[in-house]
Amino acid sequence: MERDGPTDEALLAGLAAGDELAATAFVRRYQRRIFGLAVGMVGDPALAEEIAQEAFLRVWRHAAVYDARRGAVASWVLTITRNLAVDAIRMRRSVPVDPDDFARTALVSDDRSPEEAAVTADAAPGLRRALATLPPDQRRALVLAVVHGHSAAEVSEEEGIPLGTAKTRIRAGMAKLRTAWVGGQVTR
Amino acid sequence: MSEHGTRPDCEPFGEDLVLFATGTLSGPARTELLEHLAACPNCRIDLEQYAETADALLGLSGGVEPPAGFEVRALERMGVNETVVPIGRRWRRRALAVAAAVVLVVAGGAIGAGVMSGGPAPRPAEASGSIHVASLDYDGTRVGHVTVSGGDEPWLLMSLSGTGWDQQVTCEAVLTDGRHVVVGSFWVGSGPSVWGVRLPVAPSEISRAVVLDAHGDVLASAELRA
Repeated sequence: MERDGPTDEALLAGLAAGDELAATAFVRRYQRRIFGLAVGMVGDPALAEEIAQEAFLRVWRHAAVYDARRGAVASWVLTITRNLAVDAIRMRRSVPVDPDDFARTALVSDDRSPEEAAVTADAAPGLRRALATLPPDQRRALVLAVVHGHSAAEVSEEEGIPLGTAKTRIRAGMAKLRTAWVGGQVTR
Repeated sequence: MSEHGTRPDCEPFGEDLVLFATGTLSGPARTELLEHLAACPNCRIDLEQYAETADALLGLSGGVEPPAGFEVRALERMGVNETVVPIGRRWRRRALAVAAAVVLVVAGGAIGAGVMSGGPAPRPAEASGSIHVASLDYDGTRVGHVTVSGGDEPWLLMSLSGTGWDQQVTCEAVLTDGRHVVVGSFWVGSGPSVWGVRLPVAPSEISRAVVLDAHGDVLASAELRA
């Protein structure tokens, strides 16, 4: 999709070059998504702001080594945010947001600004539909793994299920989402 | 989409492949999977698609308005605050940052190749390109700057301070052979703005970037050849 204004890659390189306007544009483009992901994971707005601020700092510090061949800027930025939130939850022994709450938000959330919509893939509606049709146990396991960064063993413990069952749920859920995601990409 | 699981050798890695894509696989299982991936193009395709799906799932999280003042605090932590940083210091810092960025982009290619060994074959590091920044001037006064980057998809980023132009402008690249290529048009308000576009030519072919008004008169230009 074409959008007005600089690409994410251009803004990121401007950020790496110390360009104030590029930095401001980048923060404005991503602040709602980064803060949204952080608060969606930790629940506490104050902690979410700390995480989001740190995420921008890391993006700025590492902008020069970002490699577009290894993924989209949005994915890179959100993964940094997710990892920081996972670390914060573990270090502070905070209670993370229930995976069902995240899934509910993901299923209904489409209050993106035009800029955010442009940086979010167009295949998102198909993915959202696929997430909605997953059996609840698979959806929880998948969100715990992908969003909360939990290993299969941790999912097993939290859900009170055998390790093999946890792995099967994650794999089955991911396989269905992949079909929807890749199909959506192909038909665009 | 590849048909994972149709090869008996691949089936034992099905669950671990998904866990690896979520970034939660560790220990001997991870090592064994990496060894398998090095020899199995089908599983590499599967892994790429699982990873893209995981990224997309993360991207479904909704946007939430951050607390008041968030943007200012974020920019301050990055050391970006146009209202308090003297312009001379900003340009010195920019020059140093650009030099560091170029070095790091090159180093990043090497690091990327290093960490990917054993997995999918990396693409050539030289595709990363380099970054070049030039002052955008009008009549001896700096009105902004132009950043260009090479690589597979070269682009140009133009940052303008408050020019007061308030009109539609066109950016042209003047090539080393004298030809002019229209890069794009955009609206410039009275305040600071930033605009970017993919370049139709390699940055090495460009000697100058010029900004023209609707009558074709030059509003500003940047020398891109050192």
